[in-house]
Amino acid sequence: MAKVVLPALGEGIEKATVSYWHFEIGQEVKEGDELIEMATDKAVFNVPSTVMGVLKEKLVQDGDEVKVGEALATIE
Amino acid sequence: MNLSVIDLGIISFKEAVQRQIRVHREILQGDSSHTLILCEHLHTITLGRQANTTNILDYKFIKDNNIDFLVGVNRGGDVTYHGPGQLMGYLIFDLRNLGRDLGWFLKRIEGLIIDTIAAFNIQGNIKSGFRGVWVNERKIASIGIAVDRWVSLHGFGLNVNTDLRFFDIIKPCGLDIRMTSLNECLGGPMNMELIKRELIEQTAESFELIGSKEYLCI
Repeated sequence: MAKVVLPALGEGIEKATVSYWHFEIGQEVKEGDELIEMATDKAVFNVPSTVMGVLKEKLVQDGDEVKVGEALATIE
Repeated sequence: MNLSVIDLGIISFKEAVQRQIRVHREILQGDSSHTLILCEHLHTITLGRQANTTNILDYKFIKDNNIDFLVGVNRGGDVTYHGPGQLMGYLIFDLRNLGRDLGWFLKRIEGLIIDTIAAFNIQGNIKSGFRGVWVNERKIASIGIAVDRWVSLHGFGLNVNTDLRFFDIIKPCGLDIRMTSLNECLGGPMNMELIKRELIEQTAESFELIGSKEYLCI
């Protein structure tokens, strides 16, 4: 079981908002697949899966604000 | 590292997006370097992913004037207007070799715009809590980017000779603000080619890239 976290985004950006999920629970994901789209005030970006497996849990939902380092998903 | 520059002239927003996607793919494949795409758009209103449609103030004007209206554009930011006289700078940059730092990248974009307009004796500023470049309390340039696999898309719009009345049909960036342009600041229309040259130079300098003196006009 691995957790995917919001990675460091650089200078002065400490949080981002969930735009939408590219995968549904139960779907297989490969390492590097774009898992979730996030947005800051002026940038949108995708967070990739860091491992191969099945998306077990979505720990955040569309519209949620997430801090850098917080877990987004569990991959089994 | 090199900076490639592509000048698309006046082109629709959709076509410019297609071109960006092509360059983005080439960069991911290792076939292109950091690329600055310059262009102007036809009259267009775009809404970013987080945009609030209540920030459109005059749908009738948009419809009556056949203004392109695009919702859910894959960039940060709220609603904005693009049109002739506004210089678009799309930065398709490989952030994998520029430190993977979104905050730094956005600040650099603001910096290169400030340096560009400074060459024309306009003092631009950043404003705490807001993105973009401001001249006094008016916004002269808006920024909105996307990053996919650490290669950026989209960029900024700098109002050079923009007809600012078009901003009255929206709340730009969802804010109660006034926009301005180089034309308004200096009291007369500006030569777009001169601005482009300065912008290319400042982009290369800001990111410590080698810019070619000649650039592609397609």
